[in-house]
Amino acid sequence: MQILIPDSWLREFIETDATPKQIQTALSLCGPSVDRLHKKGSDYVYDIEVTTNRVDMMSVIGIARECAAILPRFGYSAKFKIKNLKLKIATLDKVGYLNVKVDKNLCPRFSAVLIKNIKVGESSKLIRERLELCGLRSLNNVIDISNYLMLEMGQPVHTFDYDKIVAHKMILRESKKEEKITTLDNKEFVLQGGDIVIEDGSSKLIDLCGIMGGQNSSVDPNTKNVLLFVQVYEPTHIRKTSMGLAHRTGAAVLFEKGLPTENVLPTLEKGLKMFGGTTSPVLDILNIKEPVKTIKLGKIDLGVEIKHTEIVKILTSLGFEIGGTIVKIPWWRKPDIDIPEDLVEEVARIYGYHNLPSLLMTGKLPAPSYDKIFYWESKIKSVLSHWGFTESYTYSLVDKDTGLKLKNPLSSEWTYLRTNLTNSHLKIIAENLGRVPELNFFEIANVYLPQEELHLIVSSSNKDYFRLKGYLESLELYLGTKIDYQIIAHDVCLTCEINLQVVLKSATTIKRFTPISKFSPIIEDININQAENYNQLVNKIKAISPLIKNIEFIEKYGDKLTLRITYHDAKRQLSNNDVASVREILLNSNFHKS
Amino acid sequence: MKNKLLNIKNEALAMIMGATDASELNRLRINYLGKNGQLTRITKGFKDLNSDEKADIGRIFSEAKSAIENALVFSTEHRTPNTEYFDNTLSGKMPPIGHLHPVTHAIEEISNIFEKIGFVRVRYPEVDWDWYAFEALNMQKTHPARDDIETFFVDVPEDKKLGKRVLTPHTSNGQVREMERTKPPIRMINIGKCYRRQSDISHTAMFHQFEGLVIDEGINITHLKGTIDHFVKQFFGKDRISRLRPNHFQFTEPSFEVDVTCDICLGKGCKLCKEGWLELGGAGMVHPNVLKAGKIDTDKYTGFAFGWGVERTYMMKSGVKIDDLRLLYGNDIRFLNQF
Repeated sequence: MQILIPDSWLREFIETDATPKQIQTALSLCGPSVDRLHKKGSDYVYDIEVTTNRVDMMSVIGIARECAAILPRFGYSAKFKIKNLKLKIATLDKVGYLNVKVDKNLCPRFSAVLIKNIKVGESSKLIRERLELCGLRSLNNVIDISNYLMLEMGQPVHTFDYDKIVAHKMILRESKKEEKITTLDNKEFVLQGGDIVIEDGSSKLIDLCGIMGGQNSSVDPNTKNVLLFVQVYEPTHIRKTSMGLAHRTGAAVLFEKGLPTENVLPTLEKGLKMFGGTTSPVLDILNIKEPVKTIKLGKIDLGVEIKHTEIVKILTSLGFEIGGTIVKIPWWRKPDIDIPEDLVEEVARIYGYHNLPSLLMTGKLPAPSYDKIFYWESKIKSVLSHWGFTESYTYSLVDKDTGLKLKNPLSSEWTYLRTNLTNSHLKIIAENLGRVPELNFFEIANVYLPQEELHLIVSSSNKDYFRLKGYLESLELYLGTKIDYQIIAHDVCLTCEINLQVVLKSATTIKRFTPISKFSPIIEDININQAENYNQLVNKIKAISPLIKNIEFIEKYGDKLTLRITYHDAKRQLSNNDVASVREILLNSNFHKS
Repeated sequence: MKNKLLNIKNEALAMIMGATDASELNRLRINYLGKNGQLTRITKGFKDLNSDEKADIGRIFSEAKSAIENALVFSTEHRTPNTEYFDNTLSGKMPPIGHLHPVTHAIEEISNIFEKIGFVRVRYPEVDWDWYAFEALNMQKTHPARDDIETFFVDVPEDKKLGKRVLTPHTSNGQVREMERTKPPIRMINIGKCYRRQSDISHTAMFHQFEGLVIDEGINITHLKGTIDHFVKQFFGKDRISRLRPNHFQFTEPSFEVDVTCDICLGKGCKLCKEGWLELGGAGMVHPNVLKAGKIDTDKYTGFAFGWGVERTYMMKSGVKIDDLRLLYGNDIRFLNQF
């Protein structure tokens, strides 16, 4: 949540010798992050990011409270100037000017006051300027006051034109399906049901509670009597309505976090002061017991010794009250402080993360991983890139496939989780054709069957089958294992997709050493007519004699293969006579036809 | 005979090395290996040798022969004829050059840094259960990440215990999975693909994160700071420093935002950064509810975790300013060839 706070407004509540820049730095290190500091005329504006759990900081007073705790840690003076919050106003749970029926589960606190004989007009210069510095437009004195109160106190406020609530009656309840309301900004909503609304007793909705007031009861230039309205609503209802209608107002953002009921009357009192005019008795219905929240102070291990007195000092500066090991949570922190670790955070951040040392872990090392998959992944990527292949990263989501389908795709292009990498590569080859003379891609990624399976794909626009096969054979040597692969010829390219999970089970880094023989081999090229496939032929040739140690394919011409045969015996030097008999069988054109 | 053979070999090699043109090499070939060549002639004396000598001399003979043959082949192929102008400024013949994707470059560098301080690299499902992606991470049912505006859900029936199937929006789903896989001490670095429902110049629907998780006795914020400092110095270089700021995440308490000084202004403040700092990502002490979900004894163990975007971290380092992140997954060869 982002909030703009003028420096002059902040200093109404905090007396300090720190400059705006110093306040920015200190707050960012220990509290809310002041993303930017803008100079505006003679004033400054803090652009602050408040984390969603700290709804208490979404106000000028909330930021002032943080300043009071943080600034002294940096050597600046800081005095929180808010007076004693003792209320001077008296309240009643029934008033004559408004007949109210409230669903207790929807509204923990309901308060209102009728202010008579006001004159709608322009706000004072101070109010107009402050609202504008906070990014709000000044409208009229009534609406400006409600905005001003929300910014200063962090409690949303609404104002009705009292005379437009014809029967002076309010029923706060859940909406029914298909009920309609037009909000202040002239937008008509058809409700889903279950939204918090106020009805005037004649089935007419006059407020979409916590989001925005109704058009039919809004303040206009002729308004004479104003109903100042300060409530706390059940947060999940507010979030559901606001998200469901996509109507995200400042009030909704606060209410949906769950506001403390203790802030209602102080806000109302401040409102009365700003309005002036003639006031009636204050209506206040409290539907819950305001709990006193306490937490036991746990172990605080920040890696440095922090004395108990220091801990007490820090927590006290934030408004916590400490008795022994029991910590009483101030009302404005009730929404976010739940467990002892939350107190550790408070102590640690005010002490200052920047004041803690940086250490590495000592102690036992974790059990190592014997899974070599990352090692091989990296090796395969390295060797393929050195052979001239370029690595791609294609989306796992595709437009068409047979596997898992998304319930809420972002676009029709990304609807299915792919079951193969081949289609993705056909696409990138097609897109890249002509950009460079030859395309050679590879990628290692999961496919979803639906279980995840790691695949390798190599693809090339060079359609020489034996070239690509050669790379795969070299890869087999590199991995020390056989790969079960199939090269597929497409219109413009070749692809070969391999299940790496299977291959890598038998990949090995262990190399077997064979002593180098003292005896030289005899190597000769022979031509042979091919009558069966090469694999079968090689097996047959090897079966002729144990002296045949290696057979290498040199070239193919018609049906004739040129093979390079290596004869070798580790125990003696072979002579021409030794190989002559073997050669004879080889060259007998019938041997492999039998 | 042995000496004679060796002499012939040495003499031949010297002559071949000294030869300056092809015709001379050809003369040498005939002289040594031809029908009446020196080597051929010497074989005539073999018949007078006994069998032991034969084996020995035979071996030396074949060594000498192949050495001379190899030298001739080498010289014929590589000796530049001295009659032609040799222009050594012509381009060399380069081997084929492929390219690794920038994300791979980043992942390898990141995992190397953490593995050196004892982290174990793991990978966990990209299509995971709500339990691991959200519920076990202390994220309440109403958390925005759990609605279908931000996160992708798979169109399959829910599991009674584990909930919906989601495309994990962060690598934090590995936290409780790692606690289930192994016992403390844990030092995990989980790098994987993540998915979120957004696509614009600074977001891609698919991206990568790296997640660190450390759980042991006595782990506190100083260890988190130390680990992050180590990474920042190693990855970004000695001129860059990091800082922690308070933040809020459901699965850590306390939570931090980690900033690194801007690579352009080195912390002074400029237009491209927030007052001298760039946000690296979130970190924090593991929330006790998360440890409990992983069945870790919270009286005995504490831990810290961090999870950052690979792409974002790489951009902050390299000075490679890619103005539209979607280029990373567009696979234009003219883009990929630059890495």
